[in-house]
Amino acid sequence: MFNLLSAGFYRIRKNRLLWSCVLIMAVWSVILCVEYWKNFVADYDGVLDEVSFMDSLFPTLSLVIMVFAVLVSIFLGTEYSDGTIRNKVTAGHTRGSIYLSQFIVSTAACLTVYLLSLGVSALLGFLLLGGTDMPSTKILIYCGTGVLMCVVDAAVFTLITMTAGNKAAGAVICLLASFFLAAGAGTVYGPLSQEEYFYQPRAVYEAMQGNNGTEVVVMGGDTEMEEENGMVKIPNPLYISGQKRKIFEFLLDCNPVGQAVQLSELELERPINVAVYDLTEIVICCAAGMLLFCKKDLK
Amino acid sequence: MNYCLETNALCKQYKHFHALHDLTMHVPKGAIYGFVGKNGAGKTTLIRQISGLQQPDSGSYTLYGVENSSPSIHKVRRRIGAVVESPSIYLDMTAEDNLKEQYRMLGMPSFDGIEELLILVGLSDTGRKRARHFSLGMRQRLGIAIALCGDPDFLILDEPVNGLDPQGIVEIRELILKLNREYQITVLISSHILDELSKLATHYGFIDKGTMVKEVSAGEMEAACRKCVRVTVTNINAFCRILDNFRLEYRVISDREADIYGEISVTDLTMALARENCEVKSMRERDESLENYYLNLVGGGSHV
Repeated sequence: MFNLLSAGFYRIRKNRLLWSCVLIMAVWSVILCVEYWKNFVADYDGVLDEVSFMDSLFPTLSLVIMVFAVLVSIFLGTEYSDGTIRNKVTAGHTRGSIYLSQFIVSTAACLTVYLLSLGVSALLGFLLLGGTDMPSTKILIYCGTGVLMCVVDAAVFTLITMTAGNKAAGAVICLLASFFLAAGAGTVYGPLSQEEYFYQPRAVYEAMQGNNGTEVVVMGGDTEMEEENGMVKIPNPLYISGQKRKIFEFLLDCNPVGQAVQLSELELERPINVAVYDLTEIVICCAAGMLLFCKKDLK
Repeated sequence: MNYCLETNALCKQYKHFHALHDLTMHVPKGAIYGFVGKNGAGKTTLIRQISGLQQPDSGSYTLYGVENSSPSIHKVRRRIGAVVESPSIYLDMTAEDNLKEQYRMLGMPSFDGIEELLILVGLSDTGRKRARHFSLGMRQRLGIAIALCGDPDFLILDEPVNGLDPQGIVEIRELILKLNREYQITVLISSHILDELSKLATHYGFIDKGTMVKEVSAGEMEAACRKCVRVTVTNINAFCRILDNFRLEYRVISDREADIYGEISVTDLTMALARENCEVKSMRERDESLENYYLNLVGGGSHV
């Protein structure tokens, strides 16, 4: 196992794709920091109180899954396209140790991309957007969740690539999987991000009731209405609650892109749940991957 | 006899296709074993199984006495090197980096020996050139060099001269002979290029439709393919007496046919036979090639 890791780390260190991904993510981080600075600092002629480097720290994560999909599938897929996976088996390494070493090396590659991008965002964000009063433990939890999310991505893409047995097929499936996860996260996050109530000035509300005495139903507002400071508090019909909300929250929390969205919005409400889901997914992916790879006929 | 590889009734099926069917073979230590069969006969499937790339559906094999179901088979595999189908090399690395990568994977304590390996396979002057830009022959030789990392006792080469130009074929042949003679490495070569194989092999195994048809040594093969004159006569006893008198080497095929080896005077022979009232029905020279031998074994209808 140690020998496989030694060989794997040597290869990833010399891999141009890895450093290209690092560069792309670093440039992306710089662009996002500058955009934040332009939108919230330069245009307001000074730093706004509510803006800090934390705002620019995680937005890159939302799409990093696609970078990981390309990186892992091409790096590991090369073992199949060049046929070098055969050398590992013929040299007497067990299938299990081969799979685990590939997973560890892929994880290291993904974490390299993530941490360097995070470093660039933190440094430039601090210079342009200033510090934060967020508790350091919360910052650490956010960063740690990002790390776990990267490991999940690596586990999923390692599973796909090592069982696909073909570089091109692996890359296509990984990219499709990343799109699917991103679409799934978007679908779930939309309803979850809805406010429970929205507010309307009383005058507007009354105008919408109609002039001829006929009552107009306001946005499905068939529930109780309250009046606060001259504003009418209206229940949001798009807000989901009860069991459905719990299911949506679960789907968002267990999806790495969903986690990335929560991190980028600095709205990670259930970090323990997320950590448990991540660890479970990592174990399941590795176990399934090892099982399938051990039974796989290699060519 | 000591064998480094023995297989016992190996079977492998891909959906409805029987790639291997009760295949039994024996590769003696120190041999260059020519594994002969047409495309799709099951050569590569067997090699994949021995290399651990695939599992047999049934049957077993032993490598240096260790059965494939034993947990220690992984350790024994360290004694073999293999080039299965295309050479397994990282195309974006140089020859030296490829060998270093293999050394790391094998856990070799140092990179000593890499230079010698590159010289052995004739790739010492490739410098910073990446394997992607190598010719097919160079890639094949690099694949063999990688298989030789860790000083294997048993080298498995699957179609090593496929697609090579004549110069490349000669280079690979000389390399294999050198490895066998100077380094005492047992070599298993699968091929359907019989003429090339006949210049190397000390033993042959003929496979057809996943089954071993025959295993012979090169000596037995040479005897079977020896140049001779096949004579059909009316009295085989008289014919044998005359051949004994002439001190000729011969082999009786049937009660009317015999093969005569060596130079003969047809006039003297026919006159002597006439005196014994033995009529010569036919006489034809036979020079059976390895190709004919194989075609006769597998039924002749197919082309190798």
